[in-house]
Amino acid sequence: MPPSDLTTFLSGSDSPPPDAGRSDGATPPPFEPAARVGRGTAPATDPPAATSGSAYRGGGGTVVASGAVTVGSRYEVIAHLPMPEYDRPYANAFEARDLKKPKRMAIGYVCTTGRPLRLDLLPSLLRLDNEALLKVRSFGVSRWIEDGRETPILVYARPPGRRILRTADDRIDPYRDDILVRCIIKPMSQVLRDLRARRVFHGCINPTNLYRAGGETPAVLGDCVAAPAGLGQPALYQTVERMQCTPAGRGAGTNADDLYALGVTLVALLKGRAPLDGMSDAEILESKLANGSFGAVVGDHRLPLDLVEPIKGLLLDEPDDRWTVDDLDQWLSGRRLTPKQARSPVQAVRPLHHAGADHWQPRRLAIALAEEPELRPNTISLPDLDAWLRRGLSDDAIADRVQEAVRGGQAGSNPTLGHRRLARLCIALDPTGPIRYRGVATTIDGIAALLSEEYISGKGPQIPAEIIAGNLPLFWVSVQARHTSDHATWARQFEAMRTLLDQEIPGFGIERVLYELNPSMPCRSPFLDGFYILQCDQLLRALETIADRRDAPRDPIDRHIAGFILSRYPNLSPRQMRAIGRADDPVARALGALDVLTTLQADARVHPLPGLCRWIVRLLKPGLQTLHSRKRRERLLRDIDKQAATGLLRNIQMLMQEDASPAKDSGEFAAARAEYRTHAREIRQLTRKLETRHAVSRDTGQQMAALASSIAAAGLLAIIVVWQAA
Amino acid sequence: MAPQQRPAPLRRPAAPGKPVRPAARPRPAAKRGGSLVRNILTGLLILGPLAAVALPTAVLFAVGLVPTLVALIVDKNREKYAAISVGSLNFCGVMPAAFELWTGGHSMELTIGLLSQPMHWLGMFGAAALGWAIHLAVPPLVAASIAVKTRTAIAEHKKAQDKLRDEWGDDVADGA
Repeated sequence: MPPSDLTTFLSGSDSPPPDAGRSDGATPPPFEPAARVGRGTAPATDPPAATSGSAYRGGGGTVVASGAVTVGSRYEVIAHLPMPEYDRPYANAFEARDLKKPKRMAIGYVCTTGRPLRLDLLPSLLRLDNEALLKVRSFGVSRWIEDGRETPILVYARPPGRRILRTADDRIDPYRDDILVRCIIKPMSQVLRDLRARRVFHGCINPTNLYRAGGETPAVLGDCVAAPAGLGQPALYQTVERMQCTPAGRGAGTNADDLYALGVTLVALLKGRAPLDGMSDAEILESKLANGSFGAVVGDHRLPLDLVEPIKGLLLDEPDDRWTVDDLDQWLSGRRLTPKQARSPVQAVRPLHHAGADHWQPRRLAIALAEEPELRPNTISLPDLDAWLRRGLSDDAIADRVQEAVRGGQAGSNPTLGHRRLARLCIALDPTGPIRYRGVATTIDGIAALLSEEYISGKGPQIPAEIIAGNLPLFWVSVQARHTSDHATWARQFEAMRTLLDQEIPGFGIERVLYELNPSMPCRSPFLDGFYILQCDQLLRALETIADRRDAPRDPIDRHIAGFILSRYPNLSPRQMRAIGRADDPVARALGALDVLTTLQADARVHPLPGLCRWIVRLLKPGLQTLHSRKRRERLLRDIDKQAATGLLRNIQMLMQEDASPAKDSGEFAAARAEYRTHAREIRQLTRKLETRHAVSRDTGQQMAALASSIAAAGLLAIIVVWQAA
Repeated sequence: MAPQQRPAPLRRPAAPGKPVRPAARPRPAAKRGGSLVRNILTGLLILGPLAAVALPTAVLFAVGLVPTLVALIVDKNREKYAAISVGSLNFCGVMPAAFELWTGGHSMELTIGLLSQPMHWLGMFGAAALGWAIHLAVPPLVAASIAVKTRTAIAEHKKAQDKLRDEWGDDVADGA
């Protein structure tokens, strides 16, 4: 499979390998798999009931009888050979084999959590060849043996060794500074340069995701695709700004954030353990805020003199001052740089007392205020705050922003007004910080991942929806001191999302926003549980699979599927979705679903779908039964089953459009009733005429008789005259 | 003593809410009789001058057109279709005797002679009888013709209704 063909990956259209079923014992496992409770223990000869037999298609892979799952057409992930030493926070590792080159070993990351993967990185990573970055070999969606659910599986090259730190609180011998430079800094610098060139934020640089074989071999950086950015990275390795965020709301991140993580990693390796171990995330944040990242992370540890410079440069809290990859390369090439001094945050000349603590910095005040449930009159004295900002901090700009924040945000329902005003106040006090709202903190580009995480964790989308509906992203953009092109893009995007939220018809609302903001989000329709659907053709195949199940829902398109379809298939008109929302008219809903699915089938060129056709026909038949025309009804009921058997929704749609239009039927029925009434009226008139025929015929008959007699008399008279004349 | 007023004639009281209709004006009883008198006077106006100048012809027509006179009297219809039917043929029945009178010298003796011949009576009254026959026979034929035609039309309409009911079900007849 060409690595660049992500669409092929996602569509899962690769044909299964011809030798997929001969993997039993083809390559002996290199070691006995470690016993892991509940994982990878399915015996090779005991696949789930649904998979018994030879092989079946499941998304982009095939389950073979040996207990292995093929990914793409080339790799085989072996379910009974787990590799826990390579597990990632949101993916379990299993041994994988390259079917074309059996000696080349690989690992398969099976992502069973249902979280969206960072699939947008795949095209770049598949093309990237860097020995210090674990090579992505393939991706596919396969039905995993253990639970029978479709699961995304990433296949990577086998790492050269074990993790440097097996767990976050693991301890190792401290690295020597020369080993650190040769084995860590140098290769990671190359990796970060390549990633920057491809605009890729790795987001998972830490000692538990670095692999080394030992000796002086360079480290290899591991996976970054298996989980949303920010979720797979411990808080310690996050910048101060990202640490303040809820893990899912940390956003896409930048190359500077990766460099910061590298700086913390270097300190960890020099210490032989994670810095600040034993402290909670909140304590680490507090320490970083109080002492700066360098002071907090290094603490009283004596760094090698040569490494003070890069580590200080990498751990600068101000992103603009932080070392770049170029700075690191220059340092590696021997040029010694002096990092900028860490800027201490602006402090007021006098503190503001709030919630039992004195606050000297607006950011600290914002963090404290975010703990409040909402902005009430007694939350904080706004005149005091204004006086503190103008006189204590001497910053009229912040004071003006705070005034604007408190005055604005009036729109919306009252229950959310207090939360929104508090969030606006926090943004105004700490513009570079996250959006803090009802106990959640997120960067503006982290709202998407936060929304998906809230869905997946079962909390519901209420908070992200309120953030978007309350216009907080736009307010955040408006208070930024520097504006970039990203800001304008985000402003447009969230304005559009707010419009989508306001509409209640299927295909809009929070479900649509979820899929618009998260292109890698699988469809989360409740009745598609067990499927991992990323594209519309997969959706059609999944609907085909569940069509004949007893527990299949009544309608094939719910709000999630509607939102998913409209976000993934922009050619579809929202008008086509309106009919699906007609709760009072099941036939209109069925016709709407038929319209949408027909468009999808034609566009995706999915093979015939007889099951889905039968499903649609089941929904349409009650409507056909209500057709007034008996002959048309009988003909349609007969023909529609024939068309369903073809598996082409287009045929059913054409049949319905030609003959089964309810409007046409109603119009013709009204005409027929009018015609029937005309006949009835005529019959009544004729019956009356029949009853009165004697009276009518007497006058008419006598008239006719007089006429006939007169004509006869005239004729006779003429004969008599002629006869007498002769 | 004051004169006692005559009680008003009893009338059925009008139903409540309905306007009181004035009593129907009695039809003038003399109208029909007047019409007959007018017809007879018209005949006399024709026959009077005729008798003055051609008495034999007038006598012949007065006697020969008796069936027409009878038809005129018995026909209650304003249009006098019976009189027309009978009269036209009755007139033809008188014409052979009249031609014979006019060509035979036009005298009262000849008139009496003609009226004494049964064949002339047969011609005059037979023609009148034929007129009566036509007058009586045609209306039933017309009624029968109307009945056949109407029944055929009703059958066609019912057939069309059955076809509609077959196509659209019994609902199509709702409200008809």
